[in-house]
Amino acid sequence: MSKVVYRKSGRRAGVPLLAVSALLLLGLTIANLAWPKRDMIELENRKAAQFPVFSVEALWNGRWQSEFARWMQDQFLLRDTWINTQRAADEIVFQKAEEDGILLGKDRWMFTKLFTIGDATRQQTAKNVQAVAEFAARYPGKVTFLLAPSASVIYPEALPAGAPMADENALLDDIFAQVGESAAVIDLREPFTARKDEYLYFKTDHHWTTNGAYRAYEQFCARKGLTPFDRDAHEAVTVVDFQGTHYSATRLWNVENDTITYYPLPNQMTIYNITGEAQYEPLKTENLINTDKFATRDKYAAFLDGNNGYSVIEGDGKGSILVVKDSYANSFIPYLTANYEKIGVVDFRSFKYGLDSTIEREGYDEVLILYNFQTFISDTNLIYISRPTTLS
Amino acid sequence: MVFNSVVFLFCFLPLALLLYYIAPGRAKNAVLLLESLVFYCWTGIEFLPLIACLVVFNYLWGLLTAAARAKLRAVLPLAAVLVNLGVLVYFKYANFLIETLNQLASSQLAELEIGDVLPLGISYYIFKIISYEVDVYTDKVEAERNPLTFAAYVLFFPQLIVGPIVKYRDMAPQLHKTSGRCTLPQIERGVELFVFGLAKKVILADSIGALWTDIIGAGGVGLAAVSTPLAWLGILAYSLQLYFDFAGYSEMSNGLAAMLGFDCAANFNLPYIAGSITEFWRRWHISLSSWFRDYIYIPLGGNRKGQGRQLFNMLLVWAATGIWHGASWNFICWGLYYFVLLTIEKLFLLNHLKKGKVWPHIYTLFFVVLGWGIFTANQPGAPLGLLLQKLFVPQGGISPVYSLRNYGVLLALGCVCSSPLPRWLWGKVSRILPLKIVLFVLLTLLCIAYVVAATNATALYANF
Repeated sequence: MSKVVYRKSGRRAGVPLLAVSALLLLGLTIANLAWPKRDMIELENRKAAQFPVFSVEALWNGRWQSEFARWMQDQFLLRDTWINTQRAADEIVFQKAEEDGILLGKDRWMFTKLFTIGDATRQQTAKNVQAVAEFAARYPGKVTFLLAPSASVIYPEALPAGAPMADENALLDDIFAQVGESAAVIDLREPFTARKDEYLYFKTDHHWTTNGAYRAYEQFCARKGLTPFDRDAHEAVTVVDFQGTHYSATRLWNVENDTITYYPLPNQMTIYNITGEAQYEPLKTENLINTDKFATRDKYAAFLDGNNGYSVIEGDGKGSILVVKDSYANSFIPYLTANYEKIGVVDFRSFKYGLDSTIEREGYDEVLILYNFQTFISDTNLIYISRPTTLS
Repeated sequence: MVFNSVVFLFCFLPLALLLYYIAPGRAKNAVLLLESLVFYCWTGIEFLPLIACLVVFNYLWGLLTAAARAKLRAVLPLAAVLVNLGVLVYFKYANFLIETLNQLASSQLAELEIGDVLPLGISYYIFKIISYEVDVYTDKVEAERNPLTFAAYVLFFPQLIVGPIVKYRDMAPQLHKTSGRCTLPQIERGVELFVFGLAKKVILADSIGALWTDIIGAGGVGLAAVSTPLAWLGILAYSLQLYFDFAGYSEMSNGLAAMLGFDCAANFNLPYIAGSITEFWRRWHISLSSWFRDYIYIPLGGNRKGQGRQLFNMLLVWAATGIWHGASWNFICWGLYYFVLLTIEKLFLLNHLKKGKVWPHIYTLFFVVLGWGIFTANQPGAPLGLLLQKLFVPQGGISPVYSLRNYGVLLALGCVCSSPLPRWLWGKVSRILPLKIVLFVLLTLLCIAYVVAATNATALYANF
């Protein structure tokens, strides 16, 4: 646009455009000064940059300047609205099929973009498979391995046209075959595909729904010969307007909000502080569902009050089970109260010991390993599971 | 500080303009210098002594050249050019030369510890300085007597990061204007140019460029996995990105310059509509081509000393053009690639091209896009051999369907915006003032949305 032709009368016509632009620039600059600053950007689930502390050294190497720039960027007025506008333009005007690593599918589905599984991830997957298989071999007949497939495997037809997704099916087959040699494996692809008309996965979040978790739990019960939790005998509570992590990334302009269903149970859960290998101090005891979290954006964190290193739940059944898990299990575990007396929950993201000592000291009869595919293949903490005990 | 950042748009720019406008005419250059210093130091103060020394040296040297007697005069500019080029070579090429030498002579010279980043904008301001020294020597312009004015020219913040390389002689009259430097129509033109440039950068370049990053970037599908059509689509997207990125940045720069009262010539003039490679280079990065023409090609004799000498001069210019873009063999190959193409055109093809209507454009685009393939071959993930094999040996792999689905509209828009159509449309729109203002404000707001949402991609051309 370097040689725009201007009318001879440009002198007059120029002033309104200039005035409007100057007003816009000055208006936004001044309004931004007065705009309230915040600590958290909730929609992006991260801390907002704060005004940088001045030091000569930071000024010398430019760190102060770049932190100042980040502060301006994070604290800019109406930040969320600007981003929503940008995303909407991408989605409506430019018809983008992808936003910030999330694919925009048909019927307002959103999926995690997984086009390649890099070498580093493949190596990690191999390590994780090996660790799980080794661990399971130590407890013959006691370990169950449940790996939830990605939503895109169950609803491939909803993916954007031609999306070159990595072959998750092949990898799942491979993982199940290897782990299956020493553990009982539960492959949900068939049962989920058979029930794909049901509400199995959130559209706006990377988790499954409470119903999806229940269908997985049914498979678990069938395998174990247990009588499943009776949903009809319990009153379900529904929380509306859930917008999960996929939405935070895409800000889908015509988003279809999700709903979260849960069953208020009287069972209590104790969250422990981990002071050493197999050494636990009770931190707090509360309900399985922390309903306070439903008032925040991160509503899924209500289940088991988020991800904690080690917690124990009092169930109404017999025997005990230790669940090794990622966040997918959080909406699954409440159903287990119908079958076990004691349910231990380990999340290796804040649990850095082998599992043998805990199984022995806390006396667990069985182990359930529950992950979703995408966490499982890249998780760097699961390898602790087979680590030998350091206790004598 | 890049122009497409919140901190520039809503902190630096309003303050800088306000200060500049309220400053009295005689103080404007000092204010401009101060602002440029802040801008320069935004990435750190480490390299400030370097540019300060260069400014002082060249200021004094310019005066010396102007005052010196005839015999001494011939040596002075040569020394100035050597010193300035020496600085550029030290920071930009020393390690590349050492590496090459080590490979050729299997010697063991240690690499210099210069750091990974080039001093900000060094390729641009060194060329600006050289143009000044040579022009003073050839009496095209008088030596600058005010050190502040000279420093303001070298550090002029709109041109500091990615040029354009505007010669001192083109800016001198405006730098010396002490009253009525800025006029409202000129500022208005600057605002318009700036916003159009910003739109090119943040809406088109960054969005379209993601297609190529999807292929070769970290976490991308990898060039080895793509099919031939997708490889072509990728390289096409890269070509569009490079154009909108650089042309957008140049327009922002010229827009800012206009807001400050300086009229600078356009750096790009719709290069992708060219009907020959010769014409392409008259439309692409015009300030660089004209610098090479004025300070290498013509002083060497240009086309006045026979065809053999002309071809040799062209070879030098194009090798230099390649090297200027970076210390890497692919850039040298890219420069020589254009030398070959331009030689062929000069020898016979140009006459045929002038008669054609459609095919010269296809021919030009084909070789330009292919050229960008060579150009990008220093990026990890895009080795030239693999790229050429993907482009010219038809093969399967990841199909372009998804990329077309995801980027189709943007690619189409990119093609339209590479043509004269938007310019023509804006001319029509400008006749209806309310419509013009509404559209302009909408575009501005959209640009701001993209700036706020982006993670501030720097200009591709800042690294050269």
